[in-house]
Amino acid sequence: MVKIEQDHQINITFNLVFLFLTITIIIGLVSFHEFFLISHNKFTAGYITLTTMFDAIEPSNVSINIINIMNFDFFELFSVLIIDGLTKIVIIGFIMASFINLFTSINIKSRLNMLNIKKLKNHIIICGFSMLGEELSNEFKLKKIPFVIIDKDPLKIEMLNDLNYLTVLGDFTEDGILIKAGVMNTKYIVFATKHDYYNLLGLIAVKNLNKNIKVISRATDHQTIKRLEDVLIGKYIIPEEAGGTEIGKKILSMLDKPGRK
Amino acid sequence: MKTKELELKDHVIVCGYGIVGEKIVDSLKEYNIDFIVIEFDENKAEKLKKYGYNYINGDATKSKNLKDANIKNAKAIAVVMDDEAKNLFAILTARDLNKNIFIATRTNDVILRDKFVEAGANYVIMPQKIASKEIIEEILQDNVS
Repeated sequence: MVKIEQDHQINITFNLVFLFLTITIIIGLVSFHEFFLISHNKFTAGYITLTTMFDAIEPSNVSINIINIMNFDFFELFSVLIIDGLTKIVIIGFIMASFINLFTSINIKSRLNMLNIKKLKNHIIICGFSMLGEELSNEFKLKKIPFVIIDKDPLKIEMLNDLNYLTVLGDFTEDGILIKAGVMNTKYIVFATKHDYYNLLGLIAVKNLNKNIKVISRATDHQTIKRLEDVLIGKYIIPEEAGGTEIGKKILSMLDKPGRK
Repeated sequence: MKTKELELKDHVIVCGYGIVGEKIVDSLKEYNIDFIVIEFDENKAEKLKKYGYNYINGDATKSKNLKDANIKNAKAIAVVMDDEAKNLFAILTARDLNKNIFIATRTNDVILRDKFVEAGANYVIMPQKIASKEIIEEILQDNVS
C-alpha cells in the first residue's frame, strides 16, 4: 500500500515536470521562431526569447527592451505579451505545483513521528492494532509506558497519528519495518494479531534482529504456543482462555467456592 | 438421545464449548460442581459425550434447550458462544426463564458489553482486556524484579 502511494506521488511529480518542460520548450521554440522572423538575427531572437522566458520578476523589462531594440507593430507586441504572460503563468504555476508537491510529499507529522521513535529506548513495540493491541495501547498510555504501534492498515495508522501515538506503517514481518520501530533498542515486543502464522513470522524476524528481546504473543491454542516456543521462548497468551478462567473464577466465587488462581 | 436425562439442581449451564467454555468447564470440574453444556456443533458434542459430561446438542438460544438443561433450578449460566448475536439472544431467553440466575458472558466489544448488561447479564468479561492486563503485569513485574 505504501509503495503504491509512493509510486503515485512519483508519478504526479514526473508528470508535472514533464508537462512544464514540454510547455517551456514549445513556448521557447515558438517565441524564438517569432523573434527570428522579426529580427532576422538568431542571436537577437535567442536573447529576446531567453529574456522573455526568465523575466518573471519585472514584467515591463521585456517590453521595454523590445521597444528599445526594434520597431514592431501591434501584432508583434501582442504576440510577445502573450508569450511573456504565458511563460509567467507557467512558471508561477510550476512553482506553486512544486510547493504543493513538496508539502504533500514531506508529510511533516510522519517525519516527526520517525524522529520521536528514533529517540526511544526500552520502549514496547505492539505489532498489530487489533482489539488486544488497542487495549494494550490504552493501558500503556495510562501508565505512561512508551510504545510504538506497527500496523499495515494506513487508515488505522492515520487515526493513531491523530491521537499522537507513535506508529510505523507497514508489515511487522519485514526487518526494515521492525528496525524503523526501534527493535534494536527495545526490550519487549508484543504480537497482538489474531493470526498465529503472522505472529510466528514476526517472531522469526525479531529473533534474527535482537537476541535479547522479550517476546509476548497472542495465540489461538496450545498447539500454536508449542510451535511459537520452538522458535523463541516467551510469554504466550490465549485471550479466550484467560476469559474462560475469569468467568470460571467468578462463578466459583458466586457458588462460595474459593476459585483458583 | 443425546441429552442426558438428569435432574440437575443448583448446577451451572455452559452455552458453547469453545476455548472459553472449555476453560469454564475445567474450573467447574475441578470443584465437582454439576454442570451441563449446550453445544450446537455435533463434533464438539461428540467430544463432550466422550468425556462423559452432561450435554445437549442444540442451540442455546432456543428456550426448549435451556428448559431441558433445567434452567429453572440452575444457579448460573455462562453464555460463551462464538456469535455475539446468539449470546445476546441466549441471555434474553435465560433471563426470561429464570429471573434469579447468575448470567456470565463474554464480548470483545465495549458497546455490546452494555447491551449484554441491559439484556440481563450479571457479569461480562472482555478477553482482550484480561489478556492485555496479563501482558502489562508481566512487563511491570519484569521491570520491578
